[in-house]
Amino acid sequence: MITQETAYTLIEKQFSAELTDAEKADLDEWMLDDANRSAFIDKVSDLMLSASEYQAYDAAYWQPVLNSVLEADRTTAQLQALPYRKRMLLPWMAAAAALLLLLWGTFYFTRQQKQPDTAGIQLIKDVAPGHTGAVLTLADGRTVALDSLPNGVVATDNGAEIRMDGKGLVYNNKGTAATAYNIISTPVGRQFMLTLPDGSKVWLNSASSLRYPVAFTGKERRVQVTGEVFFEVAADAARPFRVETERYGVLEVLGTAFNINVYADEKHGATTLIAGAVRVNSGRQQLVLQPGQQAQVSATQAIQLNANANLAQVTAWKDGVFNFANQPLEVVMRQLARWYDIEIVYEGHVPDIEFFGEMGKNLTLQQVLHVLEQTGVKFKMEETNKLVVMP
Amino acid sequence: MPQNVPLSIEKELLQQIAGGDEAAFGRLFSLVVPVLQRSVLKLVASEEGMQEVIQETFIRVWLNRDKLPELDKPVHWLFRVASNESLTYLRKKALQKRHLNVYAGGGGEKSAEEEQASALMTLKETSLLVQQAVNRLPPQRQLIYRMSRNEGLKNSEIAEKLGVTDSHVRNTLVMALQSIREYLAAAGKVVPLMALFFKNF
Repeated sequence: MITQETAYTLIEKQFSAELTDAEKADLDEWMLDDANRSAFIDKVSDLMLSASEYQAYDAAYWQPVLNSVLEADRTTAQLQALPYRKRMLLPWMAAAAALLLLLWGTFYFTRQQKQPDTAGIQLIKDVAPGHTGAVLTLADGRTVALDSLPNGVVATDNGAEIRMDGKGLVYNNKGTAATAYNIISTPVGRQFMLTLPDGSKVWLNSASSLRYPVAFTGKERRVQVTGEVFFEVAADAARPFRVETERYGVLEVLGTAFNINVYADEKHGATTLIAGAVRVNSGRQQLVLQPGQQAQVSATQAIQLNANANLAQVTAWKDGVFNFANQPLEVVMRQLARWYDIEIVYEGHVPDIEFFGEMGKNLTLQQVLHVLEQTGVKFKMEETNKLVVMP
Repeated sequence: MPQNVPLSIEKELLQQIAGGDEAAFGRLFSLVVPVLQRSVLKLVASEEGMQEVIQETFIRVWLNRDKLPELDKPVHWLFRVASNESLTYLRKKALQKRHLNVYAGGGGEKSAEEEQASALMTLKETSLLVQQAVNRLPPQRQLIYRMSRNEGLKNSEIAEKLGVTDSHVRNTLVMALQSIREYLAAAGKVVPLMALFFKNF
């Protein structure tokens, strides 16, 4: 190892001329030793401060860098996709490949806004993304489609006035003792938000449903869910809130915000707590969750705790984003199936790929597949809505 | 310590940045980059490397924004941060070169695309870590941080919406930044910048 004095001479030389390969190797070795970090910083910051060369500021050149810096701590990046393939030859090669994909994906989307597709998968007919909408079933079985209703009263049911208010459905209770139940359900390709009679807010992902009374008159507020639903429960200590599921037991809610995912085609039911407290009771086991934790309930009612849930990922759907971080291909494809109303068929084995990154749910199917294809998976659209996935 | 570079930074600018003012941060960026650019370019000997070092330097500056007004010699501190990021970059390059020699039997210069991709990855890594850090903040702190950064609300607007005081919002944002820095430090992404504060001045 060279001495600090020699290293300093080499650093000075680096500022004015090119080092020989041997000198570079010596300096590299010196720099790689952690003990020399502060000596390096002392010397280099001195040299930088005594430099006298000034280069006029090129705003056009630096603006993207400045933007990236300011984006770094904003947490809802749109249209960034970084899919990558597991099991590559060498770690750094995998990284380099992933980077190229990211670069390409970013480039693609920037360009995409202006030009039509010229490469990659071409669906016979592109599939538009899903949108807001739901079906309301009243106590007597009548149904109201809530896809494109103007704001105003859409129904009255057992003394409750039901209105659309721009964001979603709102219940205005005119006083009723009757226990009448309504059901709100989202088809594939729709998501929806409503405010319950007690003021609790509920978001339904696609292919989901919620059953609730038009007025919470009892000692408990009880609702039943299927699919994936996000709750912000209005505080009311006198009347606990209970969420019941078909296969994964009951949630006793002690307060505020949580996401529940009990799709029948997923491996387990998952309740993720954002704020407040929730007791998960699977019928066999019980667990009180802390914010940031997730309870996974298996088909046999066993509860597994994930103490560090990825909250951004769990709630991304509600904000119009697919978040594919560490998601296997099958989970990603199920999300797409529910949003684009397509059927997924695997030809041969299911490729062992994990994804990484975010994409807006406002993209068309073709745009999404375009990016996913960069991992090497192939897609083929059969008939109108059957998507074949090929390794 | 000598200083030839034609640069002085007003305290007022740093106070504006500490308050989350992006335009003020942009002004600092445009003041500092012209005097830093050439030196970093010589040191790292590639344009992509220079961009990456400057980008990472300013991410550090931004994530330490609440502490900027306390700095005695902000220019000196900034150049120490830039030196530190240069070292990080040079070490990464040195390690990559070693791996290339081991696995590919030497040679193997990287293409311009790979260089650019590597700069993007560095940002992506940092930015992912920052986002993970934000996601781990306690709910109220997270909410306030997101309202400030994502929705661009002023402290007073956040205070009004949430029914808390302005100073509560300000303190919460400072605590949030502190947690983010601790998370990044724990992830080994940065040396604690406090260590750079008190060296030699």
